[in-house]
Order: sequence, then structure tokens, then C-alpha cells
Amino acid sequence: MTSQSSSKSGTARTFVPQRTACLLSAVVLGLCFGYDRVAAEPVSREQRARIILLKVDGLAGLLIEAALAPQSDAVLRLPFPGRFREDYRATRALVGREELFPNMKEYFVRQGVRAETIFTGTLPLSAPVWAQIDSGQPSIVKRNYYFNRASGASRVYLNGLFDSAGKLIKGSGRTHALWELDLLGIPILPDAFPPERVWSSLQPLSRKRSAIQLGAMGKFLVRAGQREFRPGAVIHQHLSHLVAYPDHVERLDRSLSLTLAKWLKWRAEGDSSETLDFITALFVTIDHRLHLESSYRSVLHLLVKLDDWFGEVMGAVEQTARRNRTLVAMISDHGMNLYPVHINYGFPINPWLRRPEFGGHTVLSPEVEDSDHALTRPIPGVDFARVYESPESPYGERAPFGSKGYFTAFAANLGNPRFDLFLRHSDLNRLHLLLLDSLRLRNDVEKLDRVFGVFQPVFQRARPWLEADAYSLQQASEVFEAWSERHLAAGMPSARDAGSRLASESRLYRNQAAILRRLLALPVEDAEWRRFVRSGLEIDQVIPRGYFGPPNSLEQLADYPVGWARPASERWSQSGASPFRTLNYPGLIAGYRALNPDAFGNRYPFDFLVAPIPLEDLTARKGPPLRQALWLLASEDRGQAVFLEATDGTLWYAPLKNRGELARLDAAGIAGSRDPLGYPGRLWARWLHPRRWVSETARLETSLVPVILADLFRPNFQDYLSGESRAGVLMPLDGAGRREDLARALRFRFRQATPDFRVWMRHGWNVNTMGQQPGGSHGGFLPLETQTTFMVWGGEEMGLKRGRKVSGAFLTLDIAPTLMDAIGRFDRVSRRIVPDPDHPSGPGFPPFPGRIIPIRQQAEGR
Amino acid sequence: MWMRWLLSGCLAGCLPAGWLSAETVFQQYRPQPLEIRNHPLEVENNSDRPYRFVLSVLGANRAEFVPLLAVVLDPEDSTPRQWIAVWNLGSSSPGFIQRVKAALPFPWWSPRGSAGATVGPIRRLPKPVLTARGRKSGAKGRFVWAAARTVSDFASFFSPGRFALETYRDYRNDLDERQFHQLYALLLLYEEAAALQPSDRNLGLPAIMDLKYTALINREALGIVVSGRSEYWVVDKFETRMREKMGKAAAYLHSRATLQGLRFREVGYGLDGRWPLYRTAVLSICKADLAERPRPWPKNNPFDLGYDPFEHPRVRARMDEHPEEGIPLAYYVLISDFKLRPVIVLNFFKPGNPGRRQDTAVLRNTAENLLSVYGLPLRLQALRYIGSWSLNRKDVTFFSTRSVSSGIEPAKLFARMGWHFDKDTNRLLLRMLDRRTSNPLADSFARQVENARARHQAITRNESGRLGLFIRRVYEDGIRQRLDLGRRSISTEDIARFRRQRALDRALEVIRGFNRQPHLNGITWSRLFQAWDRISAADPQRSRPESRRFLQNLERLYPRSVPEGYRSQVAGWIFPSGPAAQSSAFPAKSTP
Repeated sequence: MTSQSSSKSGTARTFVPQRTACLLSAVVLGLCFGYDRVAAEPVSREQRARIILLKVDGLAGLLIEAALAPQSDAVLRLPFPGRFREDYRATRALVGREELFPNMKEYFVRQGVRAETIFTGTLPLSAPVWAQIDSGQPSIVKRNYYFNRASGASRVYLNGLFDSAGKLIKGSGRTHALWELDLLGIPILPDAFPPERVWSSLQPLSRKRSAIQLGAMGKFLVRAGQREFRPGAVIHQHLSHLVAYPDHVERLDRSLSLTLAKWLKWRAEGDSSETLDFITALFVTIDHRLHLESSYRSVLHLLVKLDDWFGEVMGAVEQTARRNRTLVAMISDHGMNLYPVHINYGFPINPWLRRPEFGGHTVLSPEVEDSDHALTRPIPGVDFARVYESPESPYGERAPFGSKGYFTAFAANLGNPRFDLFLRHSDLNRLHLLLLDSLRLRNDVEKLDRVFGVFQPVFQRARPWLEADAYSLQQASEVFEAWSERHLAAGMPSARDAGSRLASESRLYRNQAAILRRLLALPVEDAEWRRFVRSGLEIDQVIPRGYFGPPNSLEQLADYPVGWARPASERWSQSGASPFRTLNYPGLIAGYRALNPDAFGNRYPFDFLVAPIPLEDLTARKGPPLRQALWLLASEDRGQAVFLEATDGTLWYAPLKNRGELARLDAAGIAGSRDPLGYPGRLWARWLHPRRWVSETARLETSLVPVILADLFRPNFQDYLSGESRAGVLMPLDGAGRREDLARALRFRFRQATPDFRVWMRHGWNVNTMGQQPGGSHGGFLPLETQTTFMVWGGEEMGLKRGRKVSGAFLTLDIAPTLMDAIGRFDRVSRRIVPDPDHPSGPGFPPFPGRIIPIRQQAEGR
Repeated sequence: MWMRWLLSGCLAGCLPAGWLSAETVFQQYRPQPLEIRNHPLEVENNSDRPYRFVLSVLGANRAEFVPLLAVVLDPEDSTPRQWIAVWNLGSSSPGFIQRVKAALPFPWWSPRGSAGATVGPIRRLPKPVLTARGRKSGAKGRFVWAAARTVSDFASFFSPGRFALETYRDYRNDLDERQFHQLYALLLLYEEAAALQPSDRNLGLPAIMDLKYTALINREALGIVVSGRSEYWVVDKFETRMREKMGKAAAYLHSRATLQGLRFREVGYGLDGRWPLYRTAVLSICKADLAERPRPWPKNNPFDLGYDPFEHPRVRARMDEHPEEGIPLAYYVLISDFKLRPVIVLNFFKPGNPGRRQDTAVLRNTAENLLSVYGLPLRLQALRYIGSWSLNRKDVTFFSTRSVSSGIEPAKLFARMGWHFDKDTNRLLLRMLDRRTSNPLADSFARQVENARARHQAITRNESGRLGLFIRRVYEDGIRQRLDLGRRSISTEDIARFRRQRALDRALEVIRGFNRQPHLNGITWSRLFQAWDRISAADPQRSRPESRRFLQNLERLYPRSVPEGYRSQVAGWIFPSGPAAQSSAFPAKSTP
């Protein structure tokens, strides 16, 4: 071929030896470094492959499998398979199509490739999983809410309307969830491409202001869904919509598919090929609707619509010049546990916490409670955090010298069967109570002395961590302030946004540090303390509002002070007995029986709670070095268990009789214990790789519990702050000393998002402060929730398998490396993304821990 | 009104003796076996071959057949337009006296026949609730009313006549809403019964969907602008919302009951072995559940009991007598126009309370009508608007204009059939459901039962007489309209032409379905080809927009997405000038 072509042109002939040498050297290099390096070489701009990533929130892997093959066994894994098939037939008759999903079937089943089983690599909630998919890294975002124990600040990662408003007003498109990754220097997949070649819809992790999407949505709404602007037709359509109003979320998704179809063909000025290299769009209708109602007929009808939207996009792909170098992936973040007959009842967690028998906590709620009836939330999505006072709070206005705003609990929940509970540190509660009573008794010297007698040891015990926190708060405040000024001076919208976020955190930290310093300065000498109490003690000057302190240990949670044990008149009349009323939270949760059962007749709403165990408690243990240890306590006396994770990532699980056995785990103290998760005995007390664990337990509903818990509780942020410290948006730094300061400040900041423990509910119960979500839910460990979707189609030049289902169990962690590998931009040796030559200033990606799903033909051959 | 309240107080003493325990009284579950009885109907016409229709009657199959819904359908038609006329057998048109009463600006509290009802034999054919010839007649009537009202608003003068009209309009709207929910519940039941007893002579699923769609668009004046083609998404959205509302209200009531220390139990209405169609709930209290320290009874609670059950002396006495048993407090329907709040129907210890809430709604309507006649200054109007918005947002049930018929009417239907409860409780429930029906135009449950019997008799007795004549008229009107025949009589040829035209319509619907698909085809190619053969034979010039679009879409799919066996034929259609033209390049646009 070379000689033929060169013989036609005399000028080309002279280059033959050079080209042959180049080819030879490429082959030699290929042999030396492996095929992958060659595959990863950058290709010319016209030949570059592109990715279209269609994200479908809440599309359960089992559900889509059943829908694509209703006669297959996949249907048997759904509840009521007979009814599913009946409704499938009915939907065919009603929609007037024999094939309900022609586009998905053609592109993903016949021409494409899909993973047979893909699980969420972290908790099956939207923000954590999308963060994991987009970054390809273990979870940094751990829930749908952010809460900071030191400042009391809270945010919702899924508040699309707020994010959009922020984008429009401030100019920066960075969402709250992305800010968490940016702080650690973890880029997301779109960052691997030049910004002008990326198009992203509104989603929990996006960097760019989606003016195009917002504009298109506006246009779509004005035109009432009409493609062309014909005033008569538009008015007619609007009037029709007054009668039969389509769901607004559905309309937005439809407008998104049309926008996407349009922009696929877009060419920037001077660009000979279609410009966009990475297109990502999030469709939210399925998740939104299934949370509210999940009968099969409406589920199938939704999937028909999804197929139509997908068809819209694929129709456009077929018409593009880059069709053969296009990779289209449809993925989902989590599944949906739907049970069409029964509804999910809501467990009112915040009112529950406000009850005296559960602590009488004043709670911080990230959003309004009972949102359907709230006058302050006229538009869904526009909301803010607020404090709900408990009339039983011992620190509230009803208590002598008490005041409003001292919330002591925060439950992170959003319409799903789980929550993370943050409780104020028990010693701080004691100090707060004692200071309030000191004020009450300031004129009663004898009783005041008794108060001091209790105050002194509590204060001494708390002093070390209070001092550490005060120092860390001050230090973090200074570092953030310095960097905020630098960013604000930069003038770029993104830097301005970072600057304002840092400034706001800095202010909060500074304020808390100042109050903590005043607390630490309280006199410790008897007479001086008495004088101080009488002269100038003001509670809000020494106890910061919103400050929770470090997480409580299991011992502290088992003896958690929630008020006084005796009425004021009897409280200090006798010495000896503890004056505090305490609750045993693990015991309370494990034993709580609701008055009304769920739809399955179950009265125990809580399934189990999980809390970390300090590694110091396990120092006597032999075996590999540990990274973390977790304790699981199941309700209804179903037993308890311990999980260990070694530093090499292997997992160890064993049931326990009680927590006292932790010290002698190696002595097989597990015999006779009840296993709350029902794993086979052969897996107990064995070190197993997570993937091995999943394959060994694949048939169990609790298969993924250890894998997900390990990721969820692991402080993954530390990996990005040590070694080759990256420190994201705060880079570059001037000097090595400041780099350490910054890393310390960030470490402190990320530690503040640690809850005391996490609770999962029984199937049939939802935890939702805001309103009621009687339909499906996710956040638990059932296959319907944890099994997600990964289906890919590629043009002829992409070299993908055709009509294949890739067997094996994969994780959402594997999606990012698989996609980048499929377009030849993944270096399998270093496990990093190959930089784009057109984007030299692009961020460096950390190595991907996930593995590559074998969707390419070449990959299978090797 | 005071008299009514006094009466409601007296009702407390009339509660059945056997209602005491929530566990026993409300456990009795007797889903009625439903049956669809299909009667063939032959109707003479001008040809030698009579029309063959089916009269399909849904009823509860007890000792005697209790008819509920009657539909006449064309068994030869499998399209959504299969149905010809529908009768909601329990519901009748209001008489002259009722209409006069409804026009008097006076708050009427009870429905027609609440004091007991007998309906004599009906001689004329009862009026159907929907017919194929007037698919939008309800919407048109509403539109005329709305237009008249707008004109009178512009005139803006006080007129007792207008006040009367407004009052009548309110009662009429309420009646229409009630009849709509009755019909919808019956259609849901028909669908379920048809799934259990499949038959070719039953109304098909697409036709049931079309009936639901037609009922839905007739609820609004603007239904006249909605496309006549039945759209599944409209029905699906309505039913999804309905289930979502019931689920949310159930979850809300459950969580509040749990917090307050009251027992909650869901009572579902559905056929045996099928999923519940409607959800209701029972609230009860048990001495064994009482906390040591009584919880404060919140003023704003969703129970609408009107008293604190923990303090109520009679409740306490009952609890002392039966400390281990649940004492029923109230029964709720879980769907209404309220956002979340369940609608109390039966209050065991304050029986007048649910009816009183309904009375305040009537008073509010009357007051609103009066105010609209007199007019208010702008500032007061603004205040009124804000107040009304806030009360609605908070789901306040006193003086609320939100309709509760979406829950009341299905509950009444099921109670009429004796679906769930023992006789005493059921009787009480029916009485209370009537108390939630403050409309002189509406029928009481007793009258509905009588109506159903008499109307069913009237229809079946007329099988070959008036019914046949009526159906023929409706059917032939459809032929005239479709073939544009004016008012002339229908000949044998017309009937044959109409059958051909109907086949063409069916084919056209297939082609339209194909055209609606954004990309690949989900309709089997053989069906598509049959349909296209028919269309292209009728329209060889391909002048119809559907034909043109069909060919464009085929061209877009050709050749990659057309199965090999069909390619040559498709190529012949889209490239009639020969193989040279067989290239379909799709140049990318430079800008979107």
C-alpha cells in the first residue's frame, strides 16, 4: 500500500524510509510498552472519537433488563412478574406498538453491548453515585446533603433550581457537589476535554453554566413543545395543556433530548468537524416519578418515553458526520426498590428526634418540613435550611436562660429508607446544661459549688478536643481567607465563585473559633468561676450555635446526655448520682417499635445502624494492617456484626454476640452468634477481595453491604491530601509550608462531614423530613436498588462488541476508565487519562481504581 | 343549619352496637365478584345485513345481579372508537324541581332522595353519559357556560338572576364532577373485571382508555380545544396522579398517627387477587398504646376529629371497657382535591363533624357567589386572594371550596355494593357519605341503587326497541359525519363505504403511529406494510400529509434500519424513479 501510493508521487517517495522507520519504531514501542500505550496515542482532531453520555437517574438495571426482554427470566427478579407481563401487553396495546422500546433494543441489545450486572460502588443515592461515576474515584460525596459539624452549615446537593439560579446570578456553573471534588483536585470526565468541546446539561456535578439548556427549556415551554413556532399551534397547545397538563419534569427531559439532538451537529466557527467531543445529559423523570408512584403500567409508559427521547438523540447521531466515531452510553446511578402494591410509609425522623423520649433535640432541617403545606415554599425546589425548636429541648427558650437556635441533631435524609445522624458531642451537651444551671443557681453558693464539682471534670475531659478544634478552626479560617482573597482578585467567574465559597466558610470558622476560645478561657478555679458566673456569663458567648464537635464514640452514644434526670428543685440537693438524663441511642434505635406497622406488617422501622469502631480497640488483633472497622447492630434483636477493611482493600466480616467480643475476634468468638445479614458461615472471618465477596454472595439480597459500607465510611478524602497533594482549586501554592497548612485545613473541613452513625430502614419505610414519597425508594442494599445500568453503542470505528452482554459483576467505579479506554484515551499502565493535546492546561487525573469493562472487541481478544 | 347540627348530635346515639372494635368491624372483607354480561344486539338498517352490536353490562354478581355500568360497542371494531354509548346506571339526570332548588341561592345540605328513594319504571331510554356522536358535548356545554359567565362578568351589575345562575352553576359543576368520578371508578372496575374474564365481546383496552380520555377532556371547558385523538399519556398521567395522591395521603396520615400514638389501618378497594384501585383508612385508639405522659394534642392535625381523643370522656370510657382493643375513631377517604389531607367521612364520636365541614363548603360557595355579584374593592380582593391561597395551601377543611368527590363517590360506590364492612357499619357509612354530598342535584346512595335497577331494566327491556333505534341513530350519525353525507338516510352502499373508510382510518392510525416515533420503528413491518398498501391504494398521489411524512421517515431509516426482507419494497416506495436515486446523505448542519 505504501509503495503503491508513493510510486504515484515523486515527492512522497523520499519520505518512505522515514515513514517506515516511524512505523517500525511505533511497533517496537508498542511491543515494549504494550498495545495499550499505542492505542492511547492521541489521534488527529478529525479522527477523534466522541462520547455521548446519557444519564438516566434511577433506571434500575433489573427493570430495564425485564423491559427489554419481558419473556426472559429477568422478569422473575421483579415483584409480581405475572403482573409485569400483563401490564407489558396492555402497554403495547395502548401505545399501539408491538415493540415498546425499538431504539434501545436496536442500539443496545442488537448492535451494542451492555454489562449484565453492574452495581453502585457506593451508597445508591444520586449525589454520591454520580460523583463516583463522573470522577471514577471512590466516594468523596457521601450523601445528598452536606453538613459541617464545626459550623453547622448545610447544603443540598440535588437542589437543581438553586444551583441553576446560582449559575445565572454568579456566573459560575460549579455545583455544590462538584465543589467538594474541586477542593481535593479531583477532576470529572468533562475536564479531560477542552471546555469548548464539552456540552453538559444541568446535573449534580457540572462546571459550566448550561445557558443553552436553560434557553432551550424556556423556548420549549413557550412553544409548548412545538418544534416550530406557529402562533396558532402554540396557543392551541397551551390551551390543551390547561386541560391535560403534562408533567413539568417530563417536559424538561423532552426538551433536553431535542436540544441534544440539535447540538450534536454543531460546528464552531472554523471547525471542519462537529465540535463537541463530550456530551453529557441527565434525564430525571424516571427517578422523580417512581418515587411518587411505581405501578408497572406507569413505569413502562415512562420507559417508552425514555426510548423516544433516546431515539431522538440516536436519530441525530445517525445524521452526524462523526457517527462512526461516536460512543453512546446510557447509564444510571442507582436502581429503585419498587413494590407496586404497597406504598412506602414515611418515618418522621425530625419530629421523632424532637420528642423527649428520643432526646428532645432541636433539629436543623436542610429543607422545610411538610413541604406540601408550607407557606414559605411556594415553588418546589426553592428552599433553605431551617431550625425546628423542640419544646422539650433543655437548651431552648423554655429552659431557664436558654435561647433559640441551639440545634443538637441533624438527620441527613431525603425520601429514602436511610439517614445519617449527626449529634452534638455529649461533653458539649453536658457543659451547656451545666452552664445554664449555673446561671439559674448563681445566687445559691452551695448548689453552685456542686454544679462546679460536676462541671470541672467534664470541662477537663473536653478541653483537649476543644482546644484542637479551636486551633483547627482558626487555622482553616486563615488559610481559606488567604485563598479566598487570591481567588477573588483573579476575576474569573470560576475563581470568584471559589473565592466567595471560601470566604463564607472562613467567616463561619472564625466566628466559631472565637467562641470556642472564650469557652476555653473559662476560669477553672472555684472562686474565680463563681465570680465569673455571677458577673458576666452569657451562654451564646461561650457555646457556639451550630457547633457539634467531633463525632461521639459508641460509648458516648450509649450514654448520651439529653437533659436533666431530675426536676430543678431536686437536682442538686443530693450529690453522687449523675444529674443527667441519658439515652442509649444504639439500643433505642435497635429496639424501637413503631405503633403502626408498615404495609408489610412490620413494626420495627429501623433495620440496622452502623458506626465506626476506633482502630485502637482492635490493637491486640493479628492480621493485616487495618484501615477501618465498623460495627453493625440490627434491630429486633437480630444480632450484630463487625466489618474490617485492611489497607490492601480486602474485607473481613463476622457476626458478634456483643461488642465486648471485639477484643478477641481472632479467638473465633463468633461461634453461636446470630448473623444479622445472613451470609453463609464459610465467609465469616475470612479476608476477601470486595469483588470476590460480591461474586460469592451474588444471590443474597445483602450481597453488597460490606462493599458499600467500606466505601461509605472510608475517609477517602485523605488519599487526595497526602502524597502528591493535589488540593484542587486552591492550587497552585506558593510555598511548601502553606501547602501543608492547606492540606491540614482541608482535612479538618472534610472530617466535619462525618456523622455519628448511619441507619438503614426496613423495606416499606422511608425517611423524609420534607414530604411523603409513597412510591419506590433507593439507598438500601437490595439488588433492585444497587443494580444500575450500563449500555453502550458505538459507531463502526469504535471497535465495540455487537449484541453482547458482558458477564461478571462490575461497579460504577469502572464506568469512567471504560469510557475513556473505549475512545483510546486511557493509559492502562498508569491507569490515568491520556491528556488532550488541544487542552494542555487540563487537570491531571489521579489513577482510576476501577477496572475496564470489556466492551471492546480488542479487549476481549487479549 | 342549627337543626342539622342538632340532628348530627343525635346521630351519636344511633351508632350501631357492633362497631366497637376496629380490629373486628373493619376486618370484614367482602370484595364483590364482578361480572361482565354481554348481550348481542342486532339492529335493523337499510341494508339486508343488520348492524351487530354488543350491550356489555358490568355488575356485581351477588344473589341477584346488581348492574353498575352499561356500554354498547361494535365488536367488529378493535380500535379505540369501538364504543358507541355508555350509561352510568346509578346516576340519573336531575329533575325539574331539583334544578329549581339548585338555582335558588340557598345552601342545600343533602342530595336527592336522602330520606329514602323509590324510582318507578322508566319508560324512555335513559340518557347515556357519553356517546360517540358527542365526544366533546360536556366540554362544549361548559364552554358555553364559561363564555356566558365571562360576558356577565364584563357587564358587572347586580342581578339576582345572575346570583341564581352562579349558584346553579356551582351545584351543576359539583354534580358533573361527582358523575365523572363515578364513571371513572366504574371504568376502572370494568377494566379489572375484563382482565379477569377476557372475552372478544368485552370492551377492548384501547376503547376503555378512549372512554377515560373522553371523560377526562369533558371535565373542562377547554376540552373543546384538545385533540380528539385519544392520548394515552393524558389518562396515564391522571391515574398516576390519583395513585400518587392516595399514597401520599396514606403515608401522611400514617406518620401523623404514629407520632400522635393513634392506630392507622389502610383499607383498600380492589378485586380479589388484583391491586387496590382505591385506598381508604381507619383511625383508632387503644388504651394499651397510651404513653405515660400524654402528648399534647396539636391544634393543627390532619385527623379532623374535632376533639382530643385522649381526653374525650366517651372515648376514655370505651378504652377503659376494652383496654386491649382498638376503638375506631374515624374513617377516611384518601383522595380529594386537597393536597395531602385525608377526608374524614365517618367520625364515630362526633358523627356530625364530617357533614359540618361539607356544610361550611356550601356556605363558602354561597358567600363567594354573593361577593362576586357585589364586587369587592381591590385591596379586599387581594386580601381575600392571599387568605384563600394560604388556607388552600394549609389544606384547611372548614370553609374550603376544594372538592372531595374524587374520594367520596368511589367510596359510595363500593359501600353501595357492601364491599368491606358489616351491614351496620356500611349503612352508617353510606349515610355519612350522603352527608358529604350537599347538592340537591346529586343522588343519594338509596336513589343510586334504585336508579341502577330501573335504568338497567329500561335499557335491557329496550334491547330491540328504543335502544336499537337510539344506537342506530348514533351509529349512523357517525357514518354521516365520517362520509360527509349531510342528513340523508344511509344506504347499503354507504355502509359498505363506511366499513372501507373505517379500515382506511385504522390504517391511517397505524401510519400516524409510525410517524409519531422519533426514530426507529416499533410497529411490526408487516402491519405497517398492510396499512401502507391500503393508504397508497386510496391515495395513489400521496397527497396526504401522513403519506408524505411516512415516506420521509422511511427514507431516513433506509437502508440501515429497515429489515432486509422489506428493503426492496421500501426502496420502490421512496425512490420511485429508480435505483440511481437511492442515496440518502444527511449533511450535518453548520449551526443548530
